[in-house]
Amino acid sequence: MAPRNGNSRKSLTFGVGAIVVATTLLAGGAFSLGTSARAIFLAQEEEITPIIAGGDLDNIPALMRGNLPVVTTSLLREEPKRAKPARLCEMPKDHFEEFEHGADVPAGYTRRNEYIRKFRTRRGFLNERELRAARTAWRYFELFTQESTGLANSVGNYPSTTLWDTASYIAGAVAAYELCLIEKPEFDRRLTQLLTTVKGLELFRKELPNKVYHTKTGAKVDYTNKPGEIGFSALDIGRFLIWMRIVKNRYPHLGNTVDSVLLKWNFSNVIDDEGRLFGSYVDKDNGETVYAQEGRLGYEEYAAKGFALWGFKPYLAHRAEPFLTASIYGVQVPYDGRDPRVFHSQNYVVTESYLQDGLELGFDLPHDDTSAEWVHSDGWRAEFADRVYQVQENRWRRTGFMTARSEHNVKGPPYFTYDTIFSDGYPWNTVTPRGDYVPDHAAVAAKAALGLWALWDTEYTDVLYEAIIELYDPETGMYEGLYERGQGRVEIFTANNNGIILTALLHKVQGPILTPYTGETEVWYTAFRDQDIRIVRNYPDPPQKEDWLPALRHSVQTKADF
Amino acid sequence: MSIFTKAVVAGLFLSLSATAGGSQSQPRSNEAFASENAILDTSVLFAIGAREARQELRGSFGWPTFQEGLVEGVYFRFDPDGYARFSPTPRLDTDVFEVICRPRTHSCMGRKGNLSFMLNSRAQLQLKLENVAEGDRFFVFEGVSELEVPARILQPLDDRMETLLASSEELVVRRGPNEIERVSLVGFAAVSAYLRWIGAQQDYTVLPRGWPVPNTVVGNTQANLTQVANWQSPMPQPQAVPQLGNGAMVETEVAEVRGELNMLRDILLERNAAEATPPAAMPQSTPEAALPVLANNHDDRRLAELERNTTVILEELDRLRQENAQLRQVSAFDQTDIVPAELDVAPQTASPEPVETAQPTTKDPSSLAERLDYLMTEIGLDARTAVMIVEIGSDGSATPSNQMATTANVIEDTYQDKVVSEILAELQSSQDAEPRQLVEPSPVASLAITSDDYVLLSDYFRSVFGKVEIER
Repeated sequence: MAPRNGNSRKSLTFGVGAIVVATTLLAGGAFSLGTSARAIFLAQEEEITPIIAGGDLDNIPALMRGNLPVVTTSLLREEPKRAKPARLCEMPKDHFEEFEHGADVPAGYTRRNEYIRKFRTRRGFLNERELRAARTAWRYFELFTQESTGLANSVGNYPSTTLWDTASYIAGAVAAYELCLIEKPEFDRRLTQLLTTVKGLELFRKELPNKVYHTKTGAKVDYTNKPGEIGFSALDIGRFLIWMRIVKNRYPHLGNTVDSVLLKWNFSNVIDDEGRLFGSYVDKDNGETVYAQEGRLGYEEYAAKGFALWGFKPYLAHRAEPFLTASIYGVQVPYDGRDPRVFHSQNYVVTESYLQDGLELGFDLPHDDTSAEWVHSDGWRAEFADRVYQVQENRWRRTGFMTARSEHNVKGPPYFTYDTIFSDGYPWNTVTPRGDYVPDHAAVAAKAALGLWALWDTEYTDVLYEAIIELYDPETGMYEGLYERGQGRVEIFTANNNGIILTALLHKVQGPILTPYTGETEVWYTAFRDQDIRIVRNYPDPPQKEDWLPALRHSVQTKADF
Repeated sequence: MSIFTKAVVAGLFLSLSATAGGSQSQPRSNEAFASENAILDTSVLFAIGAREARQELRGSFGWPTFQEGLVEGVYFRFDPDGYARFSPTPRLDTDVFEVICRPRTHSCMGRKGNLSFMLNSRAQLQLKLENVAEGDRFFVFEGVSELEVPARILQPLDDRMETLLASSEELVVRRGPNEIERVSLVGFAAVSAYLRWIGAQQDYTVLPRGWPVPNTVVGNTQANLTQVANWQSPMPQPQAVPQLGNGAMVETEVAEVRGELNMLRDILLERNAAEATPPAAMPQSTPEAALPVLANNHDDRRLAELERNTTVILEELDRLRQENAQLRQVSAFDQTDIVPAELDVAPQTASPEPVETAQPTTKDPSSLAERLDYLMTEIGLDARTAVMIVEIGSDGSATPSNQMATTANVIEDTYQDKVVSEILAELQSSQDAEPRQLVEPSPVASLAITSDDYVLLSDYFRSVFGKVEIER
C-alpha cells in the first residue's frame, strides 16, 4: 500500500477504540493497585503478634509481676540445682568417700568469668576437737540469749546487739541445728522468737532497723545502750539479708515469717538507682537524717550480694572499682581506692568479709544455684580472697608471725580494733575506730583463723587450727583470739566470733551455707501488689536475667611482685 | 561543817578508793561509754584546723565521735571522755603523750613513760617522775645543750618553769654520773594546754598566749548573745585561771563530788546486792569499834588510803568553802556601792555565826525533805538510814557520842551500814575539832599550807582582803 501524502485522518472507530482501551487499562491498573494495597495492608495486620497478658510482649501489670519466677541459672540453663545437704547426724558414713573436689580442674577464670581457685576447701566430718569447739561456741548463745526477746548479746553479758551480730546468732543457730547440737523444736523456738522480735523492733524513723538494740527490752538505743537512735547500717542489713535468705531457702516452713519481717522495712533510701548502698545517721546539729554511702572493698560487695539475694540491684556496690593494690610480701593486695582524706572513711583490708562470702555464698553470684563448689561464679571475689589468704601465709613464712587478721573486740580500751592487713597506707596496721595505731592489740583472730582453715586446705591453716581450736572457755565460748605479741588470749566472748566459728565448722561438713530456693514464688514478691506500698518502700520485682549482677574479672597476678 | 556535808564527803572517799584502781589500762565495763561519762563536746574545736569526726564503729558500743587535729607540732585525737593522745606523727604511734581522765570528772592526767603530770587545784602543773630519788639532778635538753633545773620541778610549776619545760625537747634525770631517765617533752605544751582546757570545761580563755584558737566559739547562737556570760572574749589570755577561788571552781568541785557520789551509789547498790553480808559478820558496837573490824577485813590498804584521802578532801573542802564565803562577803560589799540602802543588811548577814547561817535550818520541813531526797537519790542510802542521818543532824542537843550510841543500835548488818558507820566515825572526830575553829577562826591555818606549797600573790591579796572584810 502506497503511503498517503499530506495529512492522515483517523477514523472515528479508531478513536473510540483507543479511548476504550485507555479506560480499560486505567481501570485495570487502579483495580490491581487497590487489590494489591489491600492485600498488603491486610497481610500486615495478620502478622502482628498478639500480646498475651503476662507474655513476653506484655508490659506486665504490677499485679502480675510477683508471679514471675526468679530467674536463676538452673531455670535459664536448665541445669540441676545444688541439693541441700543432710544434717551431720543424718549423713551416711561414706558421704565423703567419693566426694568430688574438682582437684583436677585447672585454676583460673573460665569463659563465663567464673574463677577456679588453686586452693580447695576443707571438707569432711568433724573430729572430736572440732565438735567440742562447736559445742563450746554454741554455749555462748545458750548463755547470752535473752529470754525476753530472743536476741543474743553482741559481747558477753552486755545487753545490746546489732543486726550484724544478730545475723551471727542466726548463723550459730543454723550451724547448731545442722551439726545436731540442737534439735528442730529448739531451733524453731529460737528462730521464731527471734524473728518475731525483729519484726516488732521499732525502726529508725520508720525506715530500717536502728544500728543498735537493747537485747533485754528490744528498744532501739544509742551507742551507750540508752534509749535513742543512731541510724541504720547498710552493711549490717546486708549481712542480715543474707542470713534471712539462708533461713528461708533451707527451712521453707520459716519462709513466711522471714518475709513478714522484711515486708515491714522501707528500702527507699538504703539503695539508689545506680546500685550504691547508703547508711544513715542523725545530724548532730539539726537532728535530721543524713544518708551517706557505706561500705568499702570487701564488706561493700558482701552486703551488696545480700541485697541482690532479695531482688535488689546493687550494681555499683558490687563492683570492685575503684580499687588499688598494695604490694605486700609479693602479693598485690587489693584495697579500696576511695581516699580516706576525702571520704573520711577508712579502707580496711581484713579477712572477714571475704571469709563470709566464701563460707556463706561460696564466692558465687546470687543468681547462681547450679555451679560446682569449686567453681566460683563471682570470680574476682574468689581471686581477691586468694590474695588475702596468700599474703597472710607469706607473712607467716617470712616473719614467723601467725597471721589471721580481722576486726575484733578486745577487753578494755579501745574495746574494738581493726586488725588489718592493710589500711591507711600501712601494711599490718592495727587501728582503733578513731584511727590510733595500737600494734599491741594485733592478734590471731579466732574467727579468721578457723575461717581460713575451712576455705583453704593448706599446711599453714593447719598451724592456725592448732593455735585456735582449743582456745575456749568451756562454760562461755570461744575466745576472741590470741595476741600476736604474746599477751595471751583475747579474753572476751562475742556473738560474731562464735557465730563465724560455727559457720566455718558447718562449712566443713556441708560446704557453702546458702542453698537454692525450692519454692515457686514468694510472698516477698507478691505482697502488697494491690497497693502502692511496694513502690513507696522500693520493694523489688523478681529478678530476671537482665537484672543479674555481672560476672566480672580483673587482672590476675601471675608471679610474685617485690 | 554540817553532818550532811561530811556524809557526802565520806561517801566521796569510798568512791575515790573505788576508782583509784580503775586506770585506763585496766579493763572497764562497757558502761564506760555511758553518756554521763562524756565530759567533752568534741564539736568544740581545740585548735584551728581540728575537726570532729565520726568513729567507725562496727560494734554495738563506743564513742560516736572524736576530735583530731594538729597543734604546736603535735597531732592529737581525743574522745568525749577526755582520753587523748598527742604525738609528733600522724599515726599517733611514737613518742605519745596520753591523757586519761577519772571517769565523769574533769580531773585528767598526762603521761609519757615514767613522767606524768596533772593540774592541782590552783591550775598549776604538778609533775611526777617514777624512779626518782632524793639527790637526783634534773636537766632539760633543748637540742643543743643541757640546762640543769632545780629539783622543784617536782613541785607545782610556776609559769617560768612550765615555759622552760614546754620549750625543751627532753627531760633528763641523773643520779651521780649515771643517767637514769630521759623523757621526751615533745607535746608537753599541747598537753598542758589540753589539761587546762578540760579543767575549764573547754573555755578558750585558759589557753596560752598565741594559741591558735578557732575563730568562733562553736555553739554560740544569736539567741544567747545577750547573755553576759557569752561576752567572754574567745581570745587567749595568759595563763588565766578563771575558776580559781571563785564560785565556778566550787561548782566544778561540787560537780565532781556529785559524779563521784553517783559512782558510789552504783557501787553500794552493786555490793549490797552481790555480797549480802551475813548479819553476824557486822559489828553491833560503836563506830570506834567498827574501825578495827574493818581493819581486819581484806582491804586494809584501801582503808588507809581512804583515810588519807579523807584528810586531804576535808581540808580541800574547808578551804573552798572558806574562799567561797569570803567571796560572798566581797560581793556583798561590792553591792553596797551600788545599792546604798543595803548597807545595813550586809554586815549583819556577814558577822554573826557564819557557819550556822550557811547551813540550812534543820527544822524546816522542806529542807528536811530536800535532804532526805538528796540522801536517798544522790547517795543511794535506803530510807531508814537517810532518816537516821537527818535525825542526827537535826537533833541539836545530842552529843556526838550519844549520836554514835544511838546509831550503833540502829545499824543493820549490811555493807551499806558499814559505810554509814565509817561516815559517822569521821563525823565525830571532825565535830570535835569544829568548835575550836569557831573560836579561833584562822583561814591561813585551815588551808593547811605546807612549806612545799606556793601561794600566788593574787591569792594572797585576795585572802587578806577577805580577812579584812570579815573583820569589818
